[in-house]
Amino acid sequence: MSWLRLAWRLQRFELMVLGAATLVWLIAAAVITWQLNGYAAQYPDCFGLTTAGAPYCEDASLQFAPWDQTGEAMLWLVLAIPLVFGTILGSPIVAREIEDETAQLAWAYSRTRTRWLRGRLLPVGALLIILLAAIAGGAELLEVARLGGENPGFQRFDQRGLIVVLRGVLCFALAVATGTWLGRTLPALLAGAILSGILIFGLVIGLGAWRASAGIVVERNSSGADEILPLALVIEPVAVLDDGTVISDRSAALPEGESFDALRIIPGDEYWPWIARESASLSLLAGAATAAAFVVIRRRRPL
Amino acid sequence: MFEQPEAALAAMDLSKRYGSGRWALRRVSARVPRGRVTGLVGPNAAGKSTLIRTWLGFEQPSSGQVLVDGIDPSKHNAEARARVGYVPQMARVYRGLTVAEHLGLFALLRDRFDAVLAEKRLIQLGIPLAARGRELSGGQQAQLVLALALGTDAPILLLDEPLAHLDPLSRREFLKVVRASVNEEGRTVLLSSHVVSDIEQSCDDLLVLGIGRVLLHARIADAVDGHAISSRGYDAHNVVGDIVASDGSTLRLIARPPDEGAGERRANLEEIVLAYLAAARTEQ
Repeated sequence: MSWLRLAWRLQRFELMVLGAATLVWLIAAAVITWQLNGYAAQYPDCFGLTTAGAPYCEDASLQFAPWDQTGEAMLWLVLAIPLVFGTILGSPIVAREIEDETAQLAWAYSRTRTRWLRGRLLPVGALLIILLAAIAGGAELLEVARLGGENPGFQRFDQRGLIVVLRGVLCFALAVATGTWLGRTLPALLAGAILSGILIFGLVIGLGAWRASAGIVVERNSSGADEILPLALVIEPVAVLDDGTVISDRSAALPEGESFDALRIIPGDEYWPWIARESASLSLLAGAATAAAFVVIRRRRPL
Repeated sequence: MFEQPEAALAAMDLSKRYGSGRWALRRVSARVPRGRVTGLVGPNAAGKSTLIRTWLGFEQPSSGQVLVDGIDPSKHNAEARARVGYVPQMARVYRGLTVAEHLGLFALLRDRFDAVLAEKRLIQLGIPLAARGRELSGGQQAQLVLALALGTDAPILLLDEPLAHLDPLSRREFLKVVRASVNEEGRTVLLSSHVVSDIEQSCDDLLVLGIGRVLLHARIADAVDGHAISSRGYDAHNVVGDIVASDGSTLRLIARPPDEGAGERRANLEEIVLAYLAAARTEQ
C-alpha cells in the first residue's frame, strides 16, 4: 500500500467522476480546436489579427462561428472547474475520516497527524493538479484556435493556463481546511465552496484594482494601437481631456464634446509579470489554508 | 530517553471538563500495572472513554496529568502513542478497503508493523483477507482492529468497550486473543466494558469508575476475597452500599472478608461493582 493507492481506494468515486468529466471536456475541446484550426488553415486570410478580408471570409466566418461559440462556452465552464474539482476532492480528505470514525484508528496509529495529513493530501493534490493542468492546457490551445492561431495575450487569461490550476489548488486547500475544522463532508463541501468563491472573487477585485492603478492609457486611433490592443488587457474605456486629465467611463462627469476614445490597458508584454503576481497570491492563500489545516488537525478530536 | 516506570499507565489527579459544561473526570488517580489485564468498569458517561482517550492524547487534561510508560502524551504525543495499540468503541474499519489493504495501511502508518503476524491471526480467526470492511460483521471488524493493534509492537493495549456489540461467541474469541497477548507477549491491557462477567473471565485487576472518579481499584481476587455480602446490615463502618437481589431482597456489601458465622458470604464481582456504583449514585 502506498499513499497514492490509499488515495485511490478511499476517493475512487470522486476521482473517477472528475477524471471522466475531464476526459469529456478534453475530447470536446480537442474536437472544437481541431475544427477551428481546420477553418484557420483553410481560410488563412480570414482569421487572426491581420486578416485580408477576402470576399469568401463571410462564409468562412459563418462556418467558424458555431464552433467558436461552443469553444467560448467551454472556456466559461473552465471558470467553475477549479472550484468544483478542488472542493469535491478536498472536503472528504479529513472530514470523511472523522464522519466514518476511521480517524480514530488512523490518528491513533500514525506516527504523527501531520505525517498522516501530508500522506493523504499530496497524492490527491497531485492528481488534482494533473486533471486541472490537462484542462488548463486544453483551454490554452482552444483559445489560440479561436483566435486563428494568434497569441491570445491577456484574452481570457484566467480561463486557461496556470491560473486555472492554482485556483483549483486554493479551492482544494480551503476544502481540506474546512473539512478538518468541521469534520463533516457535506458542510465542508458547501463551506469550502462558498469560502473559495468569496476568496477568488475578492482576489479578482483586488488584482483588478491593482491593475487599474498600474494600467496605461492608449488612444484607440493612435499609431501602434492596432499592435498593442489585441494582446492587451483592456481595463476600461477612458476619455483624455485637453489638460491631460483621464476620466473613466464609470465617471458621469464627462464634459460635453468629449468621448471615451481611449482605453486603460495592461500591455501584452506585461502578461507574465501579472500572471506571476496572481499566481503568487493564489499560492500564498493556498499555503495559508493548508497551514491552517495542519494546525487544526493537531488539536482536533477524531470524533 | 524515557525511563520505564512500574505502572504502564498512570493518571494523577486527572480532571477533564468539556468547555464550561459537565466534568467527565474529577481528580482521577490510577496506576495500571504492567503485564496484566485491567478491567475498566463503569456506567455510561462514567468517563471511561475520556480516560482512555486522554492516555491516547486525543483529549487534553483540564488539570492533572496522565502518563503512558512514563511519557506524558500531551507533551510527547508521538512517543506515547508509539507505545499504545487502540481498539475504539464500536471499532470502525474502512468500508471500502479489504482486510489485506488494512494491513497495508497499517504498515504505511506505523513503523515496525508486523503485517505477517496480523495476517496469521486473521487467518486463524477465519477472517477472509479479500473481504471489504463493509462485508465484515461487528465481531470480525473488532477482531480485525485487534489484530492490527497486536501487529504493532505496542506494549500497551487500550480497548474501549470493544465487546459492546459482539455476540457471546465473538466476545469469547476476542478475549481469548487478548489474554494470549498478555500471557505470551507480556503486554499490558486496559479493557473497558459494561459486562462484568467478561471482566471477571479475562482480567487480573479491576478499576471501577463512576461519576467521573475512581470508586474501586484492586486485584480482582483481592476484591472478591475482601468483600462480604450480608442481608442484615450491621458493621456500618465498612458498608459500601446496598443492592437489590433478583428475589427483591436488599443485600449489603461490606468492605471486609466475610464472617461466615454471622451469616455472611463472599461477594461476587458483579455484586461488588453494582454496590460501588449504587453507592456513588446515591452520593451524587
